[in-house]
Amino acid sequence: MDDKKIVELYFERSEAAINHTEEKYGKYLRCISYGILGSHEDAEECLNDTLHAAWSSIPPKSPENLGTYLGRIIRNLSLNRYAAQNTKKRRNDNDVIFEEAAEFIPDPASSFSLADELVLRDAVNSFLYSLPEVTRNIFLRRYWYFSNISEIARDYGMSAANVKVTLHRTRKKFKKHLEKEGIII
Amino acid sequence: MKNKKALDILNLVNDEYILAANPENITKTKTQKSYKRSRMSAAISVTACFLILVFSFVLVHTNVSRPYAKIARLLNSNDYAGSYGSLSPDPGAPDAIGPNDKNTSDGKYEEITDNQVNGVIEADLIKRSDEYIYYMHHPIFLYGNTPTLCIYSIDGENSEMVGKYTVTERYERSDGSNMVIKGFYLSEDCTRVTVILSYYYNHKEYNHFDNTELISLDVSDPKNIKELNRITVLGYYLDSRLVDGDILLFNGYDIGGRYDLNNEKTFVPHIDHGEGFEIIPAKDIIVSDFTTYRNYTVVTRINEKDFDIKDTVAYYSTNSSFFYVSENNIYILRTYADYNQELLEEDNIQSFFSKQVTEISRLSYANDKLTPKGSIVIDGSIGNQYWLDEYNGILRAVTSTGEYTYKEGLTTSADLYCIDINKMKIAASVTQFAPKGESVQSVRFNKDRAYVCTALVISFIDPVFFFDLSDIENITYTDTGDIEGYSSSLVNFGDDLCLGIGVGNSKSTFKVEIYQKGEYIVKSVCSYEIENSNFPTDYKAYLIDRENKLIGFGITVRDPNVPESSSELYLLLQYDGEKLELIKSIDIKGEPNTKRAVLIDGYLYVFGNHFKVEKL
Repeated sequence: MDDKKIVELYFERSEAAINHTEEKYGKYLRCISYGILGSHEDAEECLNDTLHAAWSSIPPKSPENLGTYLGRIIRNLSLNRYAAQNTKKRRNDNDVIFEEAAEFIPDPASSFSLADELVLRDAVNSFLYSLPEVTRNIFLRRYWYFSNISEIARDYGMSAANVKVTLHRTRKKFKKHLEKEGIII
Repeated sequence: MKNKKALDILNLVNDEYILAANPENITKTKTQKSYKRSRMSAAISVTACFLILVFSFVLVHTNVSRPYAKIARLLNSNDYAGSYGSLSPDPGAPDAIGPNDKNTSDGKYEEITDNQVNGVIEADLIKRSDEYIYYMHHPIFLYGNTPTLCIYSIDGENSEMVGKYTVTERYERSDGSNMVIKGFYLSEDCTRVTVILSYYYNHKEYNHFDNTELISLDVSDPKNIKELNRITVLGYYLDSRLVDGDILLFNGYDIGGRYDLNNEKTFVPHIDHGEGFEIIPAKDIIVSDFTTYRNYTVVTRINEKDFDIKDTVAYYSTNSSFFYVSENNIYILRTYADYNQELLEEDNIQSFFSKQVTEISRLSYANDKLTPKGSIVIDGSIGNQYWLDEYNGILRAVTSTGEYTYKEGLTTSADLYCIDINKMKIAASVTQFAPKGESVQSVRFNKDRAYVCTALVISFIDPVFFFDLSDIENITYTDTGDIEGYSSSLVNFGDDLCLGIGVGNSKSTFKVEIYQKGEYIVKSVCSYEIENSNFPTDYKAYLIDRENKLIGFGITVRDPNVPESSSELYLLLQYDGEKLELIKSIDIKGEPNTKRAVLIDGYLYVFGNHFKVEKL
C-alpha cells in the first residue's frame, strides 16, 4: 500500500493504518533501532513507541514520505534510549560512533550563536549535497543508520580502512562547513 | 550530551539522502572484482545524479521566481516537524494610530447585528435602515430555492415586501455543488448592499476551484435593484468585516494536490484587480519556517463603494476559520500539535508527549494599510472569535488545552493569557484553571472582566468561571460550581447580568440561562429549557435586546410521541427580574440558523422562509 493511502487511514482514525505501517516499514524501522541499541527487545519497544507517535501526530501532520518520517522518530527514540541506558555501562561499539560525532562539533571559539533550525537544516543539507553520492551514503550509513564499518565496507565494495579514511575526512569537512556557517552546537 | 546533539542534527537531513543511504537498498553480492565495474558505473551514476540534482535545483530555484522560492522549498521539503518558527516578523515599534472615526453612522443606517466590537460591522442575513428591513431568504441554494434579497417596509402590520433581487453567481458552478450566501452589508448611506457568496468553479489553470464573490447592488430604489459591481476572489470565504467604508475579506486558499513547483500560479493565491487574476506578490505573503497546512489565509481590503482592492496580505500555512477583529487589528490563528520528547526518568524510557498550541499573528489595519505586527505561540486552541478580546493594549485569550503524555494519556483543561500586543509577548497568564478533563465551551469579555464556561461534555455539567482582569499582575477568578448543561455562548445582558445560551442535560435540550454577576461570584438565577429541539448554533441568529431583557431565536421542536412531526417556530423570551418567560411563539418555517427577527416600535418582524409581523 502506498504512503498516501496509509496516511489516509490515519486521518480516518482506522487502526488498519498501524498494521499497514508495520507491514511496510517494520523491518526498516527495527533495523535503524537495532543498529543503535543492539537489542531486539529494545528495538521492539522503540518500534511500538514510534507507531504510537505516528498515531498521535497524524493528523494534523501529513507526511508524504512516511518511511523517513517514521525513521526520524525511531532514530531519535533509539538515540535517547541509548544515551539513557549507557551512562553508566561499559564502553561498547556504538560509543565509538558517539565519539566520532564529537568531531563534527565546530570549535566554539571560531563561531557565533546558533541561529535557528532552518539555518542548521540548510547547512547540513548543503554540506551533504556537496559530497559525492557514495561518500554521502557512507556518512549517513554510519551516523544516521549506525551501521558498523565492516557492513559499510561490504555493501560498497571497499576495504574497511578505506571506509574509515572516508569517514574521517568527511567528519573534518563537516566541522569546517558548520564553522563557516557560524554554527555552534 | 553534546555528542548526541551532533547526531541529532542529522535528523534535519533531507528525505532523499536518507532514502538513498537505506541499507535495504544495497544488493549484497559485490566483490572486489565487480567493485571496479560498479565503481565505473557508480561514477557514471554519480555524474548523472549530479546533473539531475543540478538540473532539478535549477528548475526549482530559477524557474520558480526567486521571491516564491521559500514557499516552493517548504512544499518540496515534506517537512512538517514543527518548531516555534515565527509566522510574522517582529512587532516593531508600537502603533501610531490615526484618527478613529468609526461608528459615525449619523445617516439612516440602524445597526441590528450584535457585533463583537463596536463599529466593526459583521456581515449578516439581516440589516435595516430607518425605512426598510433587508433580509436574505434561502441563503443556501437548495432544492430549487434561490437566494433572494428582499426589502420590506417598516410599517407594523401593514409592512410588505417592496423589492427583491435574485442572486446569481458569475461562473457556472461545478455540477452538484452548492452556492451559499455568507451574509451581506448595508452601506452607511443605505444605498448599496454588498452580498458575499461562495461556490465551486474549476479554474483549471490556477489549480483552484473555491470562489468567493462580492456583488454590489444599488438598493436606493427598492423597486429597481441593480447590480453595480462584482468581484471574484479565489478561495473559500471564512469571514469579513466592514470598517470605515472598507470590507476586510478573509479567505482560505488551499493548495491543491496537483501543484507544480515550477509554476507559482498553481500554489500562490490570486486576486483579480479588474484585469484578470494575478498572483499575490511575494512581499505580501508571510511565510512560516515550517508547514502545518498546505494553504493560505488571505486578507484583502476592498473599498465597499467601488470594489477597489486597496491591500492584500496572505499568511502561508494557517488554519483560521474565524477572526477576531478589534478597532485596529486582525488576529490570524494557526493551531497545530507540537510534539516533543520527555524522559521518564524513573522508567528510563524516552517517549513522546504532544500538546496543542496556537500561534496568534497580529495584522494591523490602522492608517489605511495592512501591516503584519508579530506573532506569539500559546498553549491550547481557540474555539471562536469571542475567546479573544483586546483591551487597553492587551490581547486577552482563553484556550482549551490538550496534552498527551505517555503516562497519563490525553488531559484537557483551560488557560487564560494576557498578551502585550506591542511586544506580542505574554504579560500575564492563568494556566490549567479548569478541572482536568474539561474544555472551554464559551467565553465573554467585558472590559476588565471575563466569563468562561467550561464543561465535561460527556456528563453535561459545567462551571462558569469569572475572572477579574483589572490588575493583570494579580488576576483572580472564581467559579460557580457545577451546573447542569453548558453554555456555547455567553452574552453580556446588561445590569450585571450574563446570558448563557447552550445545552441542557442532553445535546437535544436547548437551554437559556441567566447569571447574576456579584463582586466575586457568578450565580445562576434562572433558566429556560426546550427538549427535543434543533436550535441555532450561529450566534447571529439570536435576537438580544438588553434594554428590554428579550431573547429571540428560531427553533425546531420535535414531538417524541409522533415520529417525523416537528414544529418550526420563532420564540421570544423575556427576563422579568426573577424568571425567563415565553412571551411569543410564532409559527414560521426555515432553518434555525437562518431565521432572523428585529423589534421595532413594539412590533416583532420575523424572517424565515417567509415573513411575519406580530405586535407585542
